[in-house]
Amino acid sequence: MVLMPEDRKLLEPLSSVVSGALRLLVGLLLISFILSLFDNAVPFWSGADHCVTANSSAASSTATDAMFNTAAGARVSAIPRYCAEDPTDQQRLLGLLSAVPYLAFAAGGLVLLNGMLRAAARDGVYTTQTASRLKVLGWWLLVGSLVAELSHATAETALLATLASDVHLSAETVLRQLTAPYLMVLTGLGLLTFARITRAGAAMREDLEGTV
Amino acid sequence: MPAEADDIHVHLDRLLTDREMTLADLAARVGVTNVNLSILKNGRAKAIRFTTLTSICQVLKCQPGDLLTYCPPSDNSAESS
Repeated sequence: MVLMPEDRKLLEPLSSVVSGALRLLVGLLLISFILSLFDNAVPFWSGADHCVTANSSAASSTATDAMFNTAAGARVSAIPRYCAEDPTDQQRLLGLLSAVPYLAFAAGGLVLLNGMLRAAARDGVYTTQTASRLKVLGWWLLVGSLVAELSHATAETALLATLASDVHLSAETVLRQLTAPYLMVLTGLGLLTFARITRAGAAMREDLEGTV
Repeated sequence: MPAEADDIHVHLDRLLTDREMTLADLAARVGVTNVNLSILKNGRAKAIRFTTLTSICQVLKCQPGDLLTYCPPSDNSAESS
């Protein structure tokens, strides 16, 4: 297969940005981990947030309105954010579990995207391998975002249950805490569609290679 | 039965021999790479552009039918047996 130099140009500027972001992320994680071994003040494992915003709860009153200097005819709704003053190990763990899903999802997505871009730069953009990698990335975004949000909402609800006396961990409270990742789902569907287009392009490129 | 590229036979080697021309000479005069003409000569081409076909016919002073012939699949199997 003839690899055109223009193929590499087609992948910019995303290729450079993703490569740089991944190196930065790995570098920061490494530095943070090493420093946390020597200095407890450096957050790594202990840096998980033990606060949670109760998305489904809101309160309003004249006192709240006065606190936020509302104009006449306006009302303020306050959404509570609960924090543990002296978090227990269980609360720290739940705080960590609420952050890990999205971190893992983002890191995995970056790694898959970087791998796809590097392979496309090496083997060509319009190849069946690129189409397959795009498909994998699309499924990762589609399914991964839903799994990450569900895990995040479940951990947050569990943490909220330890911080608020009227909240109990149940399917209903998890669903109320959940924020549907519409944009990620749409982007995932878009990538799956684009994978099909790329596969068709690969077939056309193969035909073109046999054209004199 | 779907059409196959193998049913089209290319007689470029015979035409070159008749005109005492090398593949490299033809490639230079037609403006197509040696590699692509070699692909055509060896029957591995999937398609030929009209511009390429026109140039080859101009240089070799031949008709497209001199360069390409269609052999139906039954004739192909008879030839190979």
